[in-house]
Amino acid sequence: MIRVTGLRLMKAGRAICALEALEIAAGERLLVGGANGSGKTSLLRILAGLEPQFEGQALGLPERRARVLVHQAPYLFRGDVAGNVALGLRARRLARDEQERRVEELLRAFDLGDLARRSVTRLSGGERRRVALARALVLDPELLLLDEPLADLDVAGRTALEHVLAARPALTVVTASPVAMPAFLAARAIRLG
Amino acid sequence: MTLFVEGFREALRLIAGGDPLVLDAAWRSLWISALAVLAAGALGTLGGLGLALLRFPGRGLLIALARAGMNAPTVLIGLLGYGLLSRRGPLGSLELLYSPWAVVMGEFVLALPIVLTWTQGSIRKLDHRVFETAITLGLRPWQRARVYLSEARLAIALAFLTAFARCFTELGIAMMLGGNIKERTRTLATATALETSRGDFARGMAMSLLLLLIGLIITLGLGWLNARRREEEE
Repeated sequence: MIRVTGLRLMKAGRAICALEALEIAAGERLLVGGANGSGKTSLLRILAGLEPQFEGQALGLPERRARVLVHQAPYLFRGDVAGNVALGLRARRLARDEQERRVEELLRAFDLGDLARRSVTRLSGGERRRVALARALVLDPELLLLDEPLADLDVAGRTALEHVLAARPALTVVTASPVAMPAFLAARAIRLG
Repeated sequence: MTLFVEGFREALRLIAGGDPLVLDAAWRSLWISALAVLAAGALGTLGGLGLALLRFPGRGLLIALARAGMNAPTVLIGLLGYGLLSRRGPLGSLELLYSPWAVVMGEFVLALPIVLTWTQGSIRKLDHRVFETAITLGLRPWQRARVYLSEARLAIALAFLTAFARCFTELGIAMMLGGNIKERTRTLATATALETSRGDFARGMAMSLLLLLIGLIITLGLGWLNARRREEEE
């Protein structure tokens, strides 16, 4: 259970994110809605640990390495698709064949098998999104933070994400989006602002 | 005008005929600059990475010094190097003055601020998502460093080439620390100066034509790298 109270993030003298209280149960699928500039992305960044300067309390967060944020416009590192997906795993103490098995599993889940060796400079927007999702989910996180995850996904990509999340009932997923999201991302919704 | 035409003709003959003294100086210019740039490149890349990522007292001063050092006159580096390496200087016992190693050391000092400043700047300028993605994926520090260098690699390659061009064509350090000793410390630049002052215009011309030619190749390389960088930024 993640418990957030009295949260405030100041940037240049202005509160860009403010939230009185929020509880997120383990395995919950929570949608954070609200207008542009209401602080959705900031909330995700605070939960991801990318904004250490926030005021207030956020208790019960999993350890740093068990939380992953996928940006609204994901950044892929130079190299190929498989290299990007494998990158984070290499930082964790896992047997090599276990790493390979996981990478392959996630590539297949997001229908990236044929693109494994393709350079990231030659991917479409939807393909980039799928690589970023695979790269985050391959780490088997406890908390997954998604900023506008469906923006450039087609129906197949959306279905793939739904299947992957359905297979991970213990994973807590917090999604930020100003528009409605399908039920697999929004079992519950809150509004900021 | 005939001086130029004659000189040019003679220069081509010397180069095409593989004049041993011309080739000797060219080869020395090449390996001295390459060695200096490799050493300065290794230290400058790591140092630039540190200056970009770490917060420590004196960091701003170091960056300002490196920036100023990019425009250091070569004769000043030569002068300071001479003071260090001359017999009465603190490093005099090494007896390095008037050896090619002294020139390598001086050109190392010339190249280091260029690589430091460019590496630091190019890493600072990386997209903020590069750092955040590396952090959120839980990469270890050495992995993060590798990712940042890989993302900034074109700018860093440009810095290496620029530093090489600067070292390859400089005169002050090679003259003051190398001493322009025939078949020992003579470089294309010092040879050009010597032959011209001796009145052997054609030889001077041959030396500087080679300088120009290699400089041209480097410029083409720089242009190509720059074009690729712009392409990738789009």
